[in-house]
Amino acid sequence: MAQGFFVNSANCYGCKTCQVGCANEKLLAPGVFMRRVRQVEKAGGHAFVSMACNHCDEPACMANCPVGAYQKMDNGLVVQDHSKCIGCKTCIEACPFHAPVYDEATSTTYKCDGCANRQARGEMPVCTVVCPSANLTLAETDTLPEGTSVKDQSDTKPNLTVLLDEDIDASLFADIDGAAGLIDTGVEEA
Amino acid sequence: MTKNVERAADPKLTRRAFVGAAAATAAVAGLAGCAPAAEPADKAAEDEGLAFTGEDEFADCTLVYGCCSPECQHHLLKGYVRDGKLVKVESGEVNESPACARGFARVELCNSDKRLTKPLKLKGEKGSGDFEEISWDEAYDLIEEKLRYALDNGGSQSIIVQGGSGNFSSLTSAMGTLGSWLGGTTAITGNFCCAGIDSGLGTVLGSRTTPLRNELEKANYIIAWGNNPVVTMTGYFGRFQKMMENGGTLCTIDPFLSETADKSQEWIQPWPGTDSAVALAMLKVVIDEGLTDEEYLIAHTTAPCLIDKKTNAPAFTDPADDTTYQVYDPASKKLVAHDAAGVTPPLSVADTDIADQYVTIYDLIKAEADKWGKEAVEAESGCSYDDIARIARDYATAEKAIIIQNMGGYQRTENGAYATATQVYLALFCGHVGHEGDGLYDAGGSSALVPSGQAFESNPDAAQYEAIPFPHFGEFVLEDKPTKINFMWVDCGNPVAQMPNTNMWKKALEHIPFVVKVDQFMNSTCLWSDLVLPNTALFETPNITHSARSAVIQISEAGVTPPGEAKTDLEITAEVAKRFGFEQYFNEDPSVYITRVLEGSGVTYDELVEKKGVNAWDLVPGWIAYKDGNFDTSTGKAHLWVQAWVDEGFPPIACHQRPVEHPLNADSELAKKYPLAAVQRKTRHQVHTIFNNLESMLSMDGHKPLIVLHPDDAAARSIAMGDDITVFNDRGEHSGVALVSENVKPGVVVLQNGWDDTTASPTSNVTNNAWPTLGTIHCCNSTLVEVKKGA
Repeated sequence: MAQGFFVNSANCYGCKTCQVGCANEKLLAPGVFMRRVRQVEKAGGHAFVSMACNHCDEPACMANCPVGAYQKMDNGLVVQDHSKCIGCKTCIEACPFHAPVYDEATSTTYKCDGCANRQARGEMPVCTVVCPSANLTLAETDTLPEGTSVKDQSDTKPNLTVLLDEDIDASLFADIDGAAGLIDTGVEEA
Repeated sequence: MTKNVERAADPKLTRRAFVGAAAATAAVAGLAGCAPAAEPADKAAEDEGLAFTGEDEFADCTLVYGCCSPECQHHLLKGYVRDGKLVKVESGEVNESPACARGFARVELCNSDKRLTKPLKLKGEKGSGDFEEISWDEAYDLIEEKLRYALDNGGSQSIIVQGGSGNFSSLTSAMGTLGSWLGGTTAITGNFCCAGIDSGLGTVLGSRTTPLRNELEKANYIIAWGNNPVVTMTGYFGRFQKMMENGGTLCTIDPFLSETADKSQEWIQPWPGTDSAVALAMLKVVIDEGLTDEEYLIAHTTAPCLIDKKTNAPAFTDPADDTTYQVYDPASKKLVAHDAAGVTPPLSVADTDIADQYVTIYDLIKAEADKWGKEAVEAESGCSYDDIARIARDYATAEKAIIIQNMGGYQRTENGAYATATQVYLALFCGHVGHEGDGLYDAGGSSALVPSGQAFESNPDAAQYEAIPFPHFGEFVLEDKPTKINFMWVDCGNPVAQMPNTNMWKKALEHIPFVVKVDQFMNSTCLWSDLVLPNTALFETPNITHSARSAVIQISEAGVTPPGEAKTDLEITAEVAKRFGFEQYFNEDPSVYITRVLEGSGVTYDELVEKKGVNAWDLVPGWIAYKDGNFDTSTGKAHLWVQAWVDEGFPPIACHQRPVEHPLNADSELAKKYPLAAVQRKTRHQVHTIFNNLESMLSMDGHKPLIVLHPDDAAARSIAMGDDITVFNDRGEHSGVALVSENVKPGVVVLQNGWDDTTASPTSNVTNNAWPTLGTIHCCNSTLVEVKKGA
């Protein structure tokens, strides 16, 4: 089984509620975000790139974590046993998307777990609930809406499908924090 | 409050089936790590996998509800409290739309170690930030002493109690009411946010509250005029998207490609301050091409009413009664009452035998529109006439069409009232007001739908004194006009950072002997105050919101332990009132005041306590603003010729008047010195200066202000993407980071509103404080600046 995110970037208007709503649900310190939305600035348009963990088929975080904090569950979610994390950031470096996030205050790393526990009690992942435009879905990959898959973008076989905004292509989803040229946090040139 | 474990199941959580609904157990992690090995690499394989049982991690929490009520959509939030601390926020069950990122950031807001915890007395100069902590008793003694000094030296007129838009809930305004019991205070007047609505729409339609959000999806065409609903109506922008999915068109009019413009099918970029010319040009297209809804205009507006050419005033049968408009009856060739039965008056009397003596209001409006043909409007607005004409036709011929004006930056210009009124004309000429799926403005909440009462009893004998227009607050106070101000109290706002020409406000506060600021965080206004009092935040304060933003009447509960010695605004006011013998007006339990606000609403206190929020739409089924063209004016018709404008010294028919501070006035010394037009935008990470000091917001969108300028303007100043730059004029300067983008009109610079002296520098440092303007308007978007490299 494989769960993956579907992101309707064409409809995303960049409110970043998913980013803050996720951090709120996961009780992260202010400024620590497991889901990040960045703005891409292009002549004639904006686009927004909302990314978290892609719950890869062959997760590099799990392959490289020196303490075995990461596990892939039978429902496809890649989860972290945070009690094991030693904050070495190896997972951040190993992940082709750099999806895990380091928290300076606790010297540990956090990563999206697809709200595994919420799912276990029949609730939707929080980012999908709080999006006012219903642009995020986390589900079995073969049930996701049509879009551009980034499956081949990395050897880790990420599970992310995107309905692309007209101003961007799938390469913008190659790294959660975007390309060089980012102005402070949040805005990037296409 | 409720224990979380006792809450009812939330039906929305089960609306989709989930693959992971059953408790899932991790597969054994079989891959060994290869990077720094702090522990044996195969340790994980030896452990049991993580188990997700679905147990609610927040089951032990207490729930506390409250209304997030700064100047935005006012969502009911549900807070999870553990050991007196707010740990998590969710959107409450009763809302018109989902809560936004700012609402979720309230966890940080409540718990921030930057919260004010003790009264602070200024030790050094104002602005120095040199404060000392004092006790509440010392603070109250000081307030009493300074208030008594003011009352003995200039009277209550020498006192100002200034609120703001930081909190629309009812119990935070107690101090203003105490001012009435002190004898009445000097007010600060004007229109700040929807600056053009009172004068430009309220006068024409008779009121200004027009919640339209339930009509959006039914429309075929929506114009977002100079505003950005993505940010100001974040929760329900999805309804605009639904309208487009249904085949409708969204058109944005904005010099900047806002998030909304990006999602729109139509976008035009007029020069700031020329929206009235654009609206009149659209009106001319409608008139010239026979797209006017004449039946509607005759039945529901004063368009056919007569103006006496001798007096340039309406031909009232009784000049003291503005319901006695007259029209021309072509059958009898006589003047008759505007509402005479069986009469269909002509819209124009130009070809009748009364043409020498009378003209209709329609004729006067048509004459204004006729000034804005192709050549004129292209030169003035910088937009293509073809675009303007197409939008006009599509709007006029749409079956159901809406103009969204709410929070429109176009209003915050020197001509903002007329820019609003010309759009109102356009909507009325097309018959697009008062039906399903049409209308204009879109603001208003529960108080527009059902009655509300006053929380506090105010002094009916309080004196009314001459007010100070806010754009010239500094000038008035420094000149002791209309009187010397001895004492000022500021709550629910941060005027030093938000009011135009910040540096004049700072000088004024330096001139006032004693300024008290009530707040949760140190900010610009606190820095320029003599005494700073820490107040409680949402989830720490009992309150009620039955107001002009959300249709949901909401209770706010106090379930979180406030930091330090923070007190509620009501507690603070009650203690001050006690020292002047007025405690009886403020010392009841908050439930008493909440009950008063509910008077006439049909909602009881007990019901609100139980439900936390009551959606007022449910109380008024079928409610539509100005239904069937019935307006809230004295005649019930829309008044297109406005006496209030004449009373302020302006023409009675809305027109385009180019702002004085405008780049097209190229011969002016000001435009030569400061050739760029600055506009200020609202952003997703702030509501005015609220939230903009939180790390959640700063990490999300940047720790420095973004300043957007066109590549041509950047190149001319050797500015590159990401450079530190400074925007300046004679009033002051604002620094930030350059975002060089073709998505702004050349010659226009876009600033982010919401920064203050504790986070960066206020954009209001450069803001035009023009006065007088029609409606006493905030003119931040009629501001000329230059830009230079360097912070």
